[in-house]
Amino acid sequence: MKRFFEHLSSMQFTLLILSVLMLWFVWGIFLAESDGFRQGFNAMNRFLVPVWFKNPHGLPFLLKFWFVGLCSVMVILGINLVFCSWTKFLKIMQNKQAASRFVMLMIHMVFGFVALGHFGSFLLGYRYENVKLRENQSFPLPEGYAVSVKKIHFEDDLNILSKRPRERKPGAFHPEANFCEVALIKNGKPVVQGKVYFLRPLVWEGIQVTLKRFTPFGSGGKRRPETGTPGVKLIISRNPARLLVFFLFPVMILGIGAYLVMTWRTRPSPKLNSLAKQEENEK
Amino acid sequence: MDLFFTGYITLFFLYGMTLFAGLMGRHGLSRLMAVPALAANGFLLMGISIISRQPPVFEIFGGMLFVTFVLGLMGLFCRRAEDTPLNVKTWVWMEILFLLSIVLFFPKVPPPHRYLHTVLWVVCFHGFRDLALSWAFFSAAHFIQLKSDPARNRVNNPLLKQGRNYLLLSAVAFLCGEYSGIIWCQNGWGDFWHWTPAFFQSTLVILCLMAAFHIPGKTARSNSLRSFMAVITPLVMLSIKIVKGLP
Repeated sequence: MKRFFEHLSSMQFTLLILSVLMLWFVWGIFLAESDGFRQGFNAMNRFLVPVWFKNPHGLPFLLKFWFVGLCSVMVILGINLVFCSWTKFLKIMQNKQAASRFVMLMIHMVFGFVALGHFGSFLLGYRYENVKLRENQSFPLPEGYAVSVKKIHFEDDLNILSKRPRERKPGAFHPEANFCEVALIKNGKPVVQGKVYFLRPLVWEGIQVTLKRFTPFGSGGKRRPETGTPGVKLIISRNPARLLVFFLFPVMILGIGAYLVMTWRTRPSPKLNSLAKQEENEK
Repeated sequence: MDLFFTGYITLFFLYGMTLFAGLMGRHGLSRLMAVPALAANGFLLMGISIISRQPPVFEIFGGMLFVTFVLGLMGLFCRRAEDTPLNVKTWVWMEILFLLSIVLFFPKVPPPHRYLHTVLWVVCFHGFRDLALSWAFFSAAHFIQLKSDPARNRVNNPLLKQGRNYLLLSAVAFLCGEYSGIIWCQNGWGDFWHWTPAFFQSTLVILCLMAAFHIPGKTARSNSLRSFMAVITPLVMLSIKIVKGLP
């Protein structure tokens, strides 16, 4: 039993799991790039986990298998992380290891929470993508909330909206000049109102309203010019795991930075020197 | 002939001369040649920044020049002994020439100005990635040299330590880029990550770095595996950059 636990907490086992994960992600890249599975990944981005498995016409079987496999390998990595951390914790408690080891232990624990935060993001909260709204239209949300578009400001040539972003001339679209005014309503009463620009969402109590794009008014075709006020395509999301990752990720980076400073050595340590001498003597 | 293409050819020539002098054992001359090469590299980067009004870290031309500039600086100020024709510095110059030869297949003009490329988190995302690539290549130069070092199996080989230091520094820079990407994704798409090929590619790089740091033991075999991972990691990073830069 002791040998089994030693194996579970060993670096060899970590390396094996990391190798499997690498292969799994290479497979994931191929799946995400293939036409047959791209839509499946898009659906995974739009909906939370329960929908992926509830709907019989949802994700393809292979994608479900890939996801379950990924979760399984991550769970095994988590077990390895817990056992390895526990072993190191015991050594630190016995004062056998340096302060840098303690920092390394902290980094591993924070990494575990960051990974959990990533998993939590497709289990918790909600996400509504491609919410098409025009002025004075609203979209209902859970817990009595609703998002209402008050006004849409679009200063550029409306014809660029019928073109793909890559087809537009550089400088034809001015993100700072175009925005929409939205209000977050709870039980019929507005609780917050603000402007939403590209890359500048409105956030209130964890609910985020993001501007994805402006949509054409609909009167213009390829030959007829666009007139009127365009609509907007919004992403409305709430992810409780977000704050955990946003706080812990920089902590992890700082931890690695601190570990690097603490262990930055270009000259051999006396301990390793004696090891080397011993090695040479043995030869 | 186009100004930037001329600059690129000049750069290739100057770095080539730097390498040649190093291989001939003329290390003083090699160091001297590296100065105009770096100056030309810096001028090209400035030119791209001024014309495109954005940092030169996005497309292949600007991005690679940024990587070669940082790598060149590391090579110039590297204090490792140069007692053999093949040393860490010569490997750095070879890596720079390899990177410049990749640029040959891509447009050598400043990219058009884009609003997105002036957003802080987008700039940080690409900038830190390029920085991580430079340091990963610098680390790889140490590990390549380690393989040709007669004392490579020594437990306390300084090349191993310095290579590990720079690989860890590269990991820090890459993670800073990832954090910037998280903020960019949150503000642009309403969530801090998505199931996309870009996410898988980033994770693959992080896994490569993790694997390189989790190789157990201090034996010659462990060092060989460590060296292999340290060389593979910048190549994975580079492949991702090239794939993203394809038209």
